[in-house]
Amino acid sequence: MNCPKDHSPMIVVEHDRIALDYCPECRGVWFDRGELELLMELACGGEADACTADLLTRPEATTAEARRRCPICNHNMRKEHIGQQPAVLIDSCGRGDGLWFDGGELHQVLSQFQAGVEGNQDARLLDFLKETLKADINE
Amino acid sequence: MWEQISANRTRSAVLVIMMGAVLIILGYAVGIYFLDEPWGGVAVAAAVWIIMTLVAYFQGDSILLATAGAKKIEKKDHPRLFNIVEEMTIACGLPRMPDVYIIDDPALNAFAVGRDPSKSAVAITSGLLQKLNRDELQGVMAHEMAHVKNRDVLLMSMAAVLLGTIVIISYYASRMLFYSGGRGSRRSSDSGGGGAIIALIGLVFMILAPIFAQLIYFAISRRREYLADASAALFTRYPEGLASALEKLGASTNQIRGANQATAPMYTVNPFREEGRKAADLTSTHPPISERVKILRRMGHSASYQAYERAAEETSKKHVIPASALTGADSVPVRAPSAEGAVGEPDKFARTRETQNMLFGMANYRQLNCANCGTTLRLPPNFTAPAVRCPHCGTVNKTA
Repeated sequence: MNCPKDHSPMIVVEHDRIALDYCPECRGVWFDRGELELLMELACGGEADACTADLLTRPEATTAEARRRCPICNHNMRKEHIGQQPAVLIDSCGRGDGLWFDGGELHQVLSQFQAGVEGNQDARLLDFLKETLKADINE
Repeated sequence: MWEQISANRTRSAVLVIMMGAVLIILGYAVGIYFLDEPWGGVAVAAAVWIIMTLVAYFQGDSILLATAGAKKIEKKDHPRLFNIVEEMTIACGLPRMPDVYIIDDPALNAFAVGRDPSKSAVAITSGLLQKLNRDELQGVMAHEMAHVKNRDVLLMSMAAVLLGTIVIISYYASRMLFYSGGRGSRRSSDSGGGGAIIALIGLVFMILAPIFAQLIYFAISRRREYLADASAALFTRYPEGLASALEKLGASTNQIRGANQATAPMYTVNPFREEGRKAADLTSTHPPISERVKILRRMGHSASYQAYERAAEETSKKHVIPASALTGADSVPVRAPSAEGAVGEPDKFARTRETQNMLFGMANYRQLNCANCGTTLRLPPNFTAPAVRCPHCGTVNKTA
């Protein structure tokens, strides 16, 4: 699978039994639907399906940021916010194939993000990213 | 059951002839518009029909598998799935184990193809493989293999290939008509009012042909879903397995990418599930999932065609099992569920790993464990950089 931002090949990084696609060039991260479901199983337990659906179908955020194409279905993705302190602007596939986190911005936000304060699915997802990409973020 | 099998053979023949008729009328319509002689169109259509029928008979399975983007796997790729298919081959008494194919798609679905029980294949999406536990997977595989056993598969392959041909011809004929600005119809109207009427009928038919063909197809594919469900309950001795698998399939919102109008009826559940086209739709190729689940759950403690028929009557006042299947003495007590997470049975996380490892292997990914923290990194074949940095611990690992 190639990176939706710079089209270089992405590698798969496996952590805590969950894999994510990672672009070594721009450090962006792609979660496909299956992986997101597994992560939500850890974060929300029995409500996992609802949590996944919530993450994939939030209202579209208004932004001037360039649209990216879903690496699976190649359709333009929607922009949405996750987390609150501070919020992260991510790309979400309208057909539900997965979520894309831009590299640099994500790392900036995650370095300020306080781990597990809310305990909701956003916090769990961001915690997971923070832990998996520890070396990247603390740079 | 034999009556059912021979009835299916007759229906296959009837279907091929009816589709042929649609194709020939379509050829007549195309002939009126694009050739001077309508019978020229008929001749071409007849030739196409014969060729496509032969192709569908000899190559239908490989065409459909290729269209769906299915890849054949070996036992070493996914031993657990093979084990289940082997088990079901014995349970339903097929002379040969079907080939096993994987469709790399997060949607949940499966289908079977083949000419006869000695040459058949089952295909399953990677999404479904990850989602289902052993009992559910067994139910779905048994349902698909019941289609092979009941000789539905040849009919389905033939119908899909012929329907595909009709759809393609109609599509291009109507596009050509549009872009040529109705050149043909002007010519026809020169020859008088009668010609114009025939041309108009031809035009209407060109648009309706794929719809006709699809209706023929729908008419035959719904009943056999019930029969395959009943067979699956009997083969697995566990109706709940398929019922709970169908529930998962029904709840999924992903649409399978490799499916098209022609191949839709082959799948376990209708692969099209965009809004406004629910699985319960009247024109659907499949009975509503909720109804299929209800019937399976009402079967009680005996897995048999009789129990299924009784449950179907109670649920929707319908007779769905052919009489010949009801006279047999096949009836077995329902078994207990197998425990998820029991020895050797992977949980959801392990199933996902198992399936993904298989897909990575098939796509020639290389596995690299970070020398420092042990994080598993997988590198695609087009990843050519000499080193990769572990995002978890920062260690730079050589890739060569």
